[in-house]
Order: sequence, then C-alpha cells, then structure tokens
Amino acid sequence: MNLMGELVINKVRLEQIGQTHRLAELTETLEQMDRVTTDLQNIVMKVRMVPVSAVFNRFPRMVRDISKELNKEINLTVEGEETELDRTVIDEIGDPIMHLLRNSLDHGVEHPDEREAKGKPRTGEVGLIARHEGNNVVIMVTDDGAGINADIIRKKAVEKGMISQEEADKLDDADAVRLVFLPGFSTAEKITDISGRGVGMDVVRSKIEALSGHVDVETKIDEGSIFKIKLPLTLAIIQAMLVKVQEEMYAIPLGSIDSTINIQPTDIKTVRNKEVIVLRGEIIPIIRMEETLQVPHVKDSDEIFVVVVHAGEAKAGIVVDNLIGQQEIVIKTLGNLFAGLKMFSGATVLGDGRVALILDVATMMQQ
Amino acid sequence: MANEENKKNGMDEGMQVVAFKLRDEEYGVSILNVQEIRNLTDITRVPFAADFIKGVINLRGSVLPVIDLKQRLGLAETPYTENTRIVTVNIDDLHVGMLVDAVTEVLTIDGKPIDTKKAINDRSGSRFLSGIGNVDGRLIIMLNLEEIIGNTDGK
Repeated sequence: MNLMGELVINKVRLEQIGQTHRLAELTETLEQMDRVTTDLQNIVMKVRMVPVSAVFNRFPRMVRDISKELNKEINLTVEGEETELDRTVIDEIGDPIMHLLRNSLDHGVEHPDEREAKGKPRTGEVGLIARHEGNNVVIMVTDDGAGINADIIRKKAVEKGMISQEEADKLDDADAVRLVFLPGFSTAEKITDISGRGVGMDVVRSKIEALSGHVDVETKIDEGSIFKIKLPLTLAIIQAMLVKVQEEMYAIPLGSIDSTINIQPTDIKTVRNKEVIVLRGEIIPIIRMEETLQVPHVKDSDEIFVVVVHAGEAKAGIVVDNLIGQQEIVIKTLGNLFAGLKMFSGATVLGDGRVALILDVATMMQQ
Repeated sequence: MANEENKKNGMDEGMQVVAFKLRDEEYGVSILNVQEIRNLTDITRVPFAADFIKGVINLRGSVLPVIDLKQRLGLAETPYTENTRIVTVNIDDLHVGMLVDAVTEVLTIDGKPIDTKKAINDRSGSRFLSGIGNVDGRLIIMLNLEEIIGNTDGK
C-alpha cells in the first residue's frame, strides 16, 4: 500500500515536470502512465476492500454466550454488514468492537427485572451498525440500557486522581462521559470476566486512532448509549482539492466538496453578524480559513474563492485565496505529537516535496 | 530518579553523543537516539499545535513533526541561519525533528556525567536535562529526550 502511495506521489511529480516542460511526447506518455496507475490503484483498492461481515459474523454468537452468562435477555441487530473496509482496518477492528459490545452487554443493558421496573421491555436491544458517511465508514455499537451517568464518571475520575475537582466541575456532561476513554478508567462497581478491568476504553481508543479513526460516545441516562467509531474509507489515497490561503497550502477531500465558486467581496452578506453567501437560493455560512487557522497575512487578494463543503446535512463555504487544483493525495498521519488536533485528518506530501495539511471539514464547521 | 533517567538515555561511561549548539551553550543527545541530521527545509506550519512545535516536514515521503528546541527549553528564539540544522531523533515510537543552531561534532564523553540536580539549582526546564558531560573542559548539557518529546500533552 505504501508502494502504491509512493508511485502516486512520483506520478504527480512527473506530471508537474511535464507541465513545465511541455514536451508532446512526454505528455502523451504521462497520460498513458496516469491511466495505468489509476487502473492499478483501483485494482489494488478493490482487492483490499473486505465487507465488514468478515468481522461482524462472529459477534452474534459471542453476544448469545455472554448474555447467557450474565443472565440477561439481549437481542442483537446487525446492520450494514456489506459495508466495505480496507483489509488492514478489518484485521484490526475486531477487538475494539468486541470490547464495545462487551461493555454494552455488561454495563449497558440492565438485568431483565431491573428493566421491567424501569418500564422497559425485558429484552435489551443491542445494535451493531456499519454505514458510509462521506469518505468515512461509521461503525456504531448501540444499546438501550442504563446509559452512562456523567456525575459518576466525574466522581471516579477525581477519585482516581486523573483530573482535579475543578476540572471535573468545568466539564459538560458530554465531555465528562468522554473521560471513559482515558487510560486506567473503569466504572464497573465490580470487576467481571467480561469487562471492567480498567484496561478497556483507552485501548479501544488508541487502536482506533492508530487506524486514523476516531471514537466518540453519546449517552442518555436510562435510554442507552451509542459508541461511534469513525474510520477512513481508504487508508491511503484520496482525491482532494488543493487550496492556497496566503502562502500556505491545504488539501480539502473531494468527498466533502459540493462545488467551488468565484465571488466578489460584495457577495458576502451578513446575517446577525455571521457572514453568509447566497448560492442558488440557499443561504450558506462562510468560514474564513485565514482567520480560523490564524494564517499569517502576507498580501491582500482581490479575488475570493469559496469552496462549498458539506458534513452530513450541514453546508458551509470555505473562503480561500486560490484554488490550485484537484489531485490525488496520499494520506499520512500526523503522529502522536499532534494527538488531539482534530482540525486536520492528516497531512500529505505534494509533488514539489512540500507538506500540506488535510482539512477535516466536519471539525472545521463546528468551530 | 536521576539514575534511572541516566540509564534510559544511555548515560554510561564512554558514550557517544551528537553535540550541537543552542545560542552559546553546547547540548548533546546520545548518538543512539539520532537518526540523521538535515539541513533546514520548508516547514509547514500546523495551526493550533503547541508553540514549540514548528510544524511538519517531508522526510523522504513521510511526515515528520519539527520542534524548536530552544523554545521547548525555554530559551529565547533566534532567527534561522545557514548553520541551522534539523536533528531527527527516535525515542520509543516517536520520530521528531529538533531545530538546533548548529551541529558541532560527535563526541565521546568519558567518565561519569555530572548530575544536573546537584550542579544547577532546580529551575524550570531542568526536567529536560539528564546530566552534564565534561569533555576537556567543554561542558555538554545532555538532554532528556523522553521529557522533551514524549511528554508534550498540554505543557
């Protein structure tokens, strides 16, 4: 896979050389090579894609066994088994999912009697759902169990000296629940065979992050929890639009781009102090990349380019100084030193040897 | 504690170190941690990263973070010169490039390095140091790489 990446980088470099020298024969050969590498890449990709059913298959059995052991009544629903993922991801994803499922079974879903007392059906529902979301595959483990109590999490974290009382008080509920992903955290009152040994969620998280994925949790007390794993569809190569902001280059994945437009400064209107543009009757909020990313200002530009992007249902226009063009890029992770930096999903090496950061559109829109 | 650190950084007698300059002082890291020394190349800034992380560079197709060692140690920044080098180091699984003012040479430090805790009154930044080597009167300040690049969350 790395070799494929190197090949693409070199192909792009050759293309750039070809453009500067403009030799007819060279251009022709390059076009030929471009077709061949693209085909080769597609084949390599296809060979590497495996449906998630390869890992999902073993879970119904496991859930049955565990629920018997725990004396719980549980119904597992599996959806989206046909969703395909890169082979390397599939190999690694089994353990984290198994862990999340065990957690849901053990701590999530309550005992049948307890459920009845709460007015829920005796049988707990656990879901394992895979689906595409843009350039990502999302795998969710859901349960309709007890949910996670943010206050208990806060208390535990303080008790274990992981955070101070002040820090705990400052966290909102959603962030407090995310503390379960810290190393050495276990809220189970008693340790069981199945989970609660304190080596859990942090391992899940580090494994997912090693695959350049992301794991998050949503929970509501007595309604259940959703653990959401987001993984890049392909580990290595995507199509992206390269944009220039002042002197810096960034890559925006083509999968999240709707369109690009060239507008006049006067086209930007404000609605309640927020800048927007009107595009085909739709009002789209704009994000000025220069300000959001604190890019050093070198010169004023007279033209404004807007890259209209989407994340889920939401749309936004990202203002950039120039569009460089569409290119295949090879995703490289930024590494541990930048853990916690969600704004970028990675970096890529451009044809000229420089490094450009790849924008995570969803995170940018939340800012 | 100091002994432990020394052991981790290979501070035994007769160790080889790569010596480099930060302002007027000479620093060193064990040669076993150094992967290569590179000339200064274009550094791509990474927004929202810690101040001392200058950005990332392309190291033969992979992406390598680069830190400003002076800033990390709490020394004032100086402009880059033609002597500025990027020393790429490995520690555990981390690969990081460190910007230094100049690389001087590879030295062998004989004898026991002086314990920093005794030599220097404890001041901020001293957790980054693991000892001081004496080579014919030249003092080489040995760095504790684990603290410098391993322990970077929120500091």
